[in-house]
Amino acid sequence: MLAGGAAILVLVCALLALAFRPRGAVRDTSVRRWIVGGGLIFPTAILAVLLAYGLVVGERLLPREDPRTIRVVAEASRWQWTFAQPGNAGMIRTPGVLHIPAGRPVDVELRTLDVIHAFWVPRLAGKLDAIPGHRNVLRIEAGQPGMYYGLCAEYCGIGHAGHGFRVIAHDAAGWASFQAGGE
Amino acid sequence: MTPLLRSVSGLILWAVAFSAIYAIQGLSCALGWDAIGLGGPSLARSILIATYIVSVTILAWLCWRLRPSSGTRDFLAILAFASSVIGLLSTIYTGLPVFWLSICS
Amino acid sequence: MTQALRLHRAFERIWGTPRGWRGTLSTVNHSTLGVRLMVTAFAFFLIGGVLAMLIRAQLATPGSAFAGPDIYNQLFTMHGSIMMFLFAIPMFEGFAIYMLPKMLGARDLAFPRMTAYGWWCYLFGGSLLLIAMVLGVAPDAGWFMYTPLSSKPYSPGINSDFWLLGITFVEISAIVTAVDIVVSILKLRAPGMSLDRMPLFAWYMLVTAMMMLIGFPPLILGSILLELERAFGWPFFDAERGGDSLLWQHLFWLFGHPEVYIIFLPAAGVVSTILPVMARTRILGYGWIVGAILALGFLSFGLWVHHMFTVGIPHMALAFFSAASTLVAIPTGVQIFAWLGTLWAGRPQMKLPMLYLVGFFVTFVMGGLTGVMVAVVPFDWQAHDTAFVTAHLHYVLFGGFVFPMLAATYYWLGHVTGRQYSYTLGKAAFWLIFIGFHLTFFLMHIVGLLGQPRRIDTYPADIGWTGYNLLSSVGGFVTAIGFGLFVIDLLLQFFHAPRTRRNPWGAGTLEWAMMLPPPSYNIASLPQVDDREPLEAAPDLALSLARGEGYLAEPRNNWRETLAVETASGRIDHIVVLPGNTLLPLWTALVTGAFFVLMLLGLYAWAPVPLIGVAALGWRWAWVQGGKQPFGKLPIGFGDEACVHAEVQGSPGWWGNVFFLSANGTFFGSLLFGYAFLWTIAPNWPPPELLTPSVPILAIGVAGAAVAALFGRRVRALKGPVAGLAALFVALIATVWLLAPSPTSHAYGAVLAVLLGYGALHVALAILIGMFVVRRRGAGYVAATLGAEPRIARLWIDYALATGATALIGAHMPALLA
Repeated sequence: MLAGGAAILVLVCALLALAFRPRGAVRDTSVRRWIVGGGLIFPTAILAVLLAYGLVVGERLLPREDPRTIRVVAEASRWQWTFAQPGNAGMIRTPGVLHIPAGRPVDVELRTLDVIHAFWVPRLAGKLDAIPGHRNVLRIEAGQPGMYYGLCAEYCGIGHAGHGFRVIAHDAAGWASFQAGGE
Repeated sequence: MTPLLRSVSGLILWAVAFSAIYAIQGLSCALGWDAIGLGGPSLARSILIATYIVSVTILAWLCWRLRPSSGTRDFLAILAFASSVIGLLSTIYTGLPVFWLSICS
Repeated sequence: MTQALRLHRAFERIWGTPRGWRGTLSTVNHSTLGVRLMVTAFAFFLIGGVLAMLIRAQLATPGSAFAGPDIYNQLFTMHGSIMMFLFAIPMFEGFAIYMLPKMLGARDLAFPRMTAYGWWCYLFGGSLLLIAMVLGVAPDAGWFMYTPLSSKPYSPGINSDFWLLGITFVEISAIVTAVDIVVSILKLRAPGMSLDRMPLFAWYMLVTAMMMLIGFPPLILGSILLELERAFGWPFFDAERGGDSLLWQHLFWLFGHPEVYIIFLPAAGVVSTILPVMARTRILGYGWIVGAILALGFLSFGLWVHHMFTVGIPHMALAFFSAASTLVAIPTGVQIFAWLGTLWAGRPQMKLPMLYLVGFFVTFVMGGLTGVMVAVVPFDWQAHDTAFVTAHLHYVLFGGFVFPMLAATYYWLGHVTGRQYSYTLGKAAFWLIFIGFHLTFFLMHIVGLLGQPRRIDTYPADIGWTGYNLLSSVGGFVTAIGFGLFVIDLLLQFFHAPRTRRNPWGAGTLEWAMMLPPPSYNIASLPQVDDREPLEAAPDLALSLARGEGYLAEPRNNWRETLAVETASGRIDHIVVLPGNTLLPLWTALVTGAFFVLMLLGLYAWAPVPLIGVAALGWRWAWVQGGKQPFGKLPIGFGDEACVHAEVQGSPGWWGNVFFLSANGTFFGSLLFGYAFLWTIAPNWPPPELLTPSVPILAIGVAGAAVAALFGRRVRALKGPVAGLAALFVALIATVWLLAPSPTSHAYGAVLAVLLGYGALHVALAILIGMFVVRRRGAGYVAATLGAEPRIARLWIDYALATGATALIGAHMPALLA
């Protein structure tokens, strides 16, 4: 997409620059070539392909049924994230840190206690808003064990800049120990 | 007034069709029509596709109705035809998602 | 004494603004007011620019302690609000007010007093926001004011009220100006200027103004609802009580996306006007461009949800808006290639305005390309609310609006000042602005993709954003220096340049067919137009018009006369006699302002007083127009004759009311949308308590509406319909007073109160207008007997009975069915 964009930009700039070159009497003034070709057909073709591609990808990113999915609740408030999920012995609540198993899909149910916030872990998925009175579910998945940074993407007041959290993706052993109540 | 309205009628119809399809999609999800099966596609999808086909048909008819007589130089008449063609193509393009995308998720 | 000089003196006596403070306050002249609007808007631009510099100063280094988050939040909220509402829109409005009558061959706009009222409202509303800033209580919830952050519990101070009330005050100015512009373009043109001979700029402004009439009402509605929630606890956006913050987002972006095109189209109109002159040719594909503008006008209303891709809307709904968002790039592409083709067809010269247009091309195309990227849903899920979007929107708005307006400044400055451009500072300013801008915002794309969100006041040093931000800030200050040079350049032009010759660029449009700077009446006589570029065939048109060799060349009865034409063909329709200088606009704006100030101070019990004052002034406003003596057909030159507007059915006043009511209808439609949206989507519905239905009250109201609809239609009798409306009024008030649940208990009650209140207000207004016309008839005014006034009253009666009955039935039906 970036390369395509750059190519179009170069094309337009070149056409613009070439318009200023000194020329003889013969000039191209065909409405059909400029407007129909350049203005209609050229963008339509590119945009239709881009749209179709975007929709296919978008559809694939939607949460699908998967028996291995685990579900956590992310509760946003000003200015704290609290995560809750079932462990071996009842719910585990973890403020500021979300624990997930690596390599398994995780559905994050987003709730807010006050204003709109947005849950965003750039390396794991796109962002989704937590909106009062609505229940949004975001599917994330970490390929590798490790630590990922997350933040609130929707402006939420004075503490917005510091409204972040961490995601720890565990390997199998770490996950088992977390669920048992250890860290 | 009337020639002005005619010269944008195709675009107005696009706006109506676009709003109708979006409203039906929202309503279907609120009322759970997505879950009602009709053999093949769900009730929601069937209504959406029907709305789409009706809109496209009306706009196609409008294009035919407003086709300018050959050699006309009446600017507003040509504009009316152009706007109905734009309306038709836009409706076809913006409504296509009704055929295969997830309706309520 | 030459003929031209004699005419000049005679017209100047009729159209001129008297010296002294009274003249300054009472003028309704479009040139004066257009310049005032532009100067005020530029002042706001400089203030907004200073705020931008403060933002960049804060972000230049990580962990900056320059401003605390409370101040920083005010800075970016005010920067966005000022640039959008107090700079961009008033700037092009001022430009259109100044330029349109001149391009169309008219002597003023259709509603000169409205022009003045619009400027005063803008000035007072904008000043409210500046006062808030000086007091340190500026709005701080972001320029799109998302609820519930902007609601009372999370913004308890007066900050948000300043935004809601100040911006709504300014929007009044936008609506009246839009009506003024639409009617002027459709009616007040030179004879012979059919729609397809209109300068392209007029087409652009026609579509822009129509879009304002459709696009602004949702925002005004949203602001009113949010202010009602903040002031009286009516829970439209409070999820606990059946409200929904998403309703705000829908209403805001229903306005907010068309807004981008509302800002871009006038600038594109400027490009389409200047570019062919710079290339010494005509525009390529006039008809194609008109089609593209119309398509843009409509399609841009199908994009608003693309600002809401991350709120959890189903993928199919996102897909509709993603499709429309890519589609809208096509008419834009048509224009870009029409411009490129025009340059190829002509022999372009790199004069100063052209240089700024090149800046426009490069910047705007980049903004358009990133726009297509964020229209792709999965990409937006990443880029949304990051610095990438900040960069994109600045490329679009700065590239698509500021660069063309800078080009316009250098192109038309001589027109305003009567002096010729004679310095080279403008070139240096261009390079500083261009390089500074791209340095600032190109880097923001990258740092946004690296994950920097919008609206953060600080960031950690170890995250890798530091270098980009520092360079961005440097670029920001380079841009600021460029604008400093631009201001110096302007001042030099104003005070220190030689006089210009007529039509210095060799352009073909009518604004150059007059003395420079233009006299108060623009042209001593109106031309007959047979071509899109009348000056091409008749380079000496300015002189012949000044000598009175056109229509309406003889001053008559001290009237401010100009011609109205038939909309499509441009055939002469009637003579418009425009109102002269008056203090009424100022008084009306002051009383309007009193309402907003009382609301701000929380003196709600007193707030109705100025509203009654506005109604009284409105009565006076209409009453002082027209006379009691019919004139019949009057000569207008070339052996033609026409009636004055008071004696025709299709007067500008009638057209103005049609378009005002279209905007009003959009407002009502948005309200119905809100009602349906809350009912189907919002949490905590259905409400605990429905309205108590009453068949007698419903029957009285519907019967009243039917009487108003059916009686007196053919003979334009008004007393019967007014009586019917009175019954409808009683039914509406009884419903809201006796039957509806409390507006504070649940969003249902709150929506019903607004719906029924809206109906009652409009029914009351229609009754007032009906009574007005009855009184005018009794007093023997021509416009109320031969003219359009009964027709206008009928229009209002029909509108009021339709909306009133819809409100009444819409409130009763769900309860009756339950």
